[in-house]
Amino acid sequence: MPPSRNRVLGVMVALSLAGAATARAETAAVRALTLKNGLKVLFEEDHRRPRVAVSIAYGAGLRDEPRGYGGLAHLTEHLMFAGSRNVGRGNFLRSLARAGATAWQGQVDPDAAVYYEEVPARSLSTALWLESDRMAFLLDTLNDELVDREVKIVQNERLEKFADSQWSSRDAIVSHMLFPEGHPYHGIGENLELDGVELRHVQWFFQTHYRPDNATLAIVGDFVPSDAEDLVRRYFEAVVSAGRAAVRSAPPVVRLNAERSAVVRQRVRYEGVVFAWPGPAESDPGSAALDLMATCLAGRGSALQRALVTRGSSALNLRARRWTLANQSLFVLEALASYEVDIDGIRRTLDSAVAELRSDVVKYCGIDTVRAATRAAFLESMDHYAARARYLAKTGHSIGDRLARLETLSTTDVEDAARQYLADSHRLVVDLRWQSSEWGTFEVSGD
Amino acid sequence: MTSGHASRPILVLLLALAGMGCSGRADLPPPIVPLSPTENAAFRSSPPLISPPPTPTFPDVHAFALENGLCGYVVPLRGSPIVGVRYVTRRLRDADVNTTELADAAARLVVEPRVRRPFGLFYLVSNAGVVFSSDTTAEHLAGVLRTLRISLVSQKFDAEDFPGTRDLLRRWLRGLNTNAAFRANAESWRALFGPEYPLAATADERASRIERWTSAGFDDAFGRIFGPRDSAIVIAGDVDVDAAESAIRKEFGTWKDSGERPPQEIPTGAHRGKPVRVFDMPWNQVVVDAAALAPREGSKDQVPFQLLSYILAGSLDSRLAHALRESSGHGYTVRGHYDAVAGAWMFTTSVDPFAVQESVEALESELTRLLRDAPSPDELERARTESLEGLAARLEAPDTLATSLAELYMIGRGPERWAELDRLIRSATSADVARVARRYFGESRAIVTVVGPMSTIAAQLQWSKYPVEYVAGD
Repeated sequence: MPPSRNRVLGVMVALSLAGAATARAETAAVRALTLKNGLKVLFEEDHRRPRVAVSIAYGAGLRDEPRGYGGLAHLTEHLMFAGSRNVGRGNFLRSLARAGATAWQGQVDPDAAVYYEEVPARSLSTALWLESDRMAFLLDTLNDELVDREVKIVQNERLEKFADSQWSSRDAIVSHMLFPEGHPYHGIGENLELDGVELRHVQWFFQTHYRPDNATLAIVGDFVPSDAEDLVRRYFEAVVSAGRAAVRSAPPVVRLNAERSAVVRQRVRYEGVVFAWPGPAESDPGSAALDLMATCLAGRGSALQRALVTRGSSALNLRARRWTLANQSLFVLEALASYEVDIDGIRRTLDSAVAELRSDVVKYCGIDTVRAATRAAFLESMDHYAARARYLAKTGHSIGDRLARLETLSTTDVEDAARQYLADSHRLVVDLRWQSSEWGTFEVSGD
Repeated sequence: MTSGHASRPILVLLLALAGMGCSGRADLPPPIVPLSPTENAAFRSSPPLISPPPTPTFPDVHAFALENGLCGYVVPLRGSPIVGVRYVTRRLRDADVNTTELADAAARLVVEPRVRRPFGLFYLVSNAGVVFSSDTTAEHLAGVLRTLRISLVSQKFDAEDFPGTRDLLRRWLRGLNTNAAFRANAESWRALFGPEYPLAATADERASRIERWTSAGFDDAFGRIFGPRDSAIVIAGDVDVDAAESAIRKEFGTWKDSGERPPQEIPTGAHRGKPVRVFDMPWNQVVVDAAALAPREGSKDQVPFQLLSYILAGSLDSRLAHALRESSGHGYTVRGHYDAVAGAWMFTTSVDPFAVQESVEALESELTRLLRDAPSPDELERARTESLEGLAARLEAPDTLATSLAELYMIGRGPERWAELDRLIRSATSADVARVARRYFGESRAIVTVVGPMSTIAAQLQWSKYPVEYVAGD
């Protein structure tokens, strides 16, 4: 079909507004290096801004917590900011501030603990000094008192995040329901079992997982490649770990053969509905198709947004997302009900939208617009160096790989993915309902 | 103290879930000695040398005005795939509370499309104005401008969307009515500026007002809230400056101002009540907020206060973060915010319900210490570096640069303010910071607002050396 006149005009206007410089830095080449101690290092040059971001991902996620130690990965992440032998206790953030850091963070997800900081380009050596010192010498400054205090902070963090709504625990509920007992993702993040956790437990966890051969370092931004490599070798090459690393195998992939559902009753402010489907790994083309379908179902202007939120006002919030795990993903569609709105109607609306999408995804979604929206949103989210470094350290891939998967996706790929992954018989449905008692209940049905 | 957490309702579900699968705790082997076998080379013993922040490169801003009063700013940033677009209006500055809330509904209608768009559009309503923002790839720039024109100039909305939006806001606020953090924030604003201040209304008060809105009232307000006068369009990114200006003129040149501006009355801040006020509300933690009057934008005290705010509560290495989190573990979020538009300093934390007394004492003690101990040279330099680097970083990327220009416009400033701020931050002294500390935290002390279960709080605060006012639940 030839493009309409309006579309041609739109393209002309867009081209005329674009700047003279034609080479916009959407992606850049990534150079990889592995040090003798096993540390993987990835470099991505980008000279648009005089800044550099450093990120390290350790294979030290929630799935690595031993039985009965829920929260230990999160506690260790907090303690990583305590200051190491040469940096000094309490001096980590102080040193980052002196270096002019404009962003820093530590995050733990099911598969990894990821740290990053963005500093002026002139402070790259400080960022590497800080990261290498806590990789090599964190345990020298920790003591019982520090661990006890940080346990309290983590417990307060949990209370604060769950204060307004049990909604915050939905990922834990989904993983509890989808993954069988004994699976590394079963009930991930649901238990905070830090009472009685001692310094020696943190020491064990750190020695087992915070090792150069279990980490990826990414550097993104304005640096001279040879200088950056020299600095990396200077600070990291001599780092050695105590003992041997734990054997870390990829968790088994889980699929559902029949619909599974649960009703969770709790004293929540807002009720909600969550649908979740097991999906493919990040590198599978199907993952890009699911990204498109997430935009299609819950992006701004979608039929579902208008039916439930904008016009219908029965839901406060509608989201669809792909939750990426090590070797599979979960496609999650969730609606948070408005105050005093029953969720049965919301569930029915979600049901019919997914059925409509599945029956004719090309017509329902408008693939070109959804692809453009997904691409633009992803590029926007990766424009700052810190975000790109974190993505690179965590996935080991440039954002170009993900963009390429999105670009090359055919309508047949999307249709196949909708049928393959979003079937009712492959999904989990969770109703989150209010009850006055403070004691929660959990009713499960299905296979 | 920590064992008390287990009985709180919010964790009950988690414990119920835990009971389904968790049984006991694994035995972990002892750690290996030496704990850190890496050789500690001499070069690690001291941090690499860091040079002080250089003067940033201030971007080249192309500014112009349309005949209808609308201002335009275009900033070329070569090489970026992202373009930042903002529409900003300062017509809400010190507007009455109902107009501010109508602006919230109107903005929501603008950003919620009837058809799918390939770019996101977001909004922020503050006590000064409204900003619409879109950070997207360059090929969508024309679409963003066209969408803003259709929404703002042509006011094309689906009539049926207004009741839905009104209902959504009302329901959202009704749900927030028992949110302790929201209540504490509103009470802090109320204490500083009185009950008529837009941010001082409780969730219930706001929801009740929204229920009385009509379609006709909304249409009338829309024209007063949005218009070309006292408004600007900002574009930052890899764009052709002339073409971008032409596009702004084409889309917005025919826009006529259709209504009078909302009333402009600058509220006078006044502390009311006792220094510590307690509000009763069931909650898992206790919210402890503090608020103080602060210099408004343009005051000679502004930059020293900005540095003071950073030293006091601007990072996890700040004085209040040490007192309430790092050395005690009482809270998790410990955050201060200086709002130069309103002229207010706001602080919030949520603490363990059994640590209220210690937390309030620690907070008061740090505020008192602020008057006694001027910032150390190291504290001041860290605050200065953070401010300078933060300013420089904002000027480098399309999204942050567009936001910075929009914020400056909202307070009646232009891009020349960047260089001025850079100079003022570099020249501020410890004596300047100590002076503003005495002025804003001295005789008129900060007000502390505590929200949580009254009986738990009262049992602890009965020995407080500060006068406490207890306010019964609604």
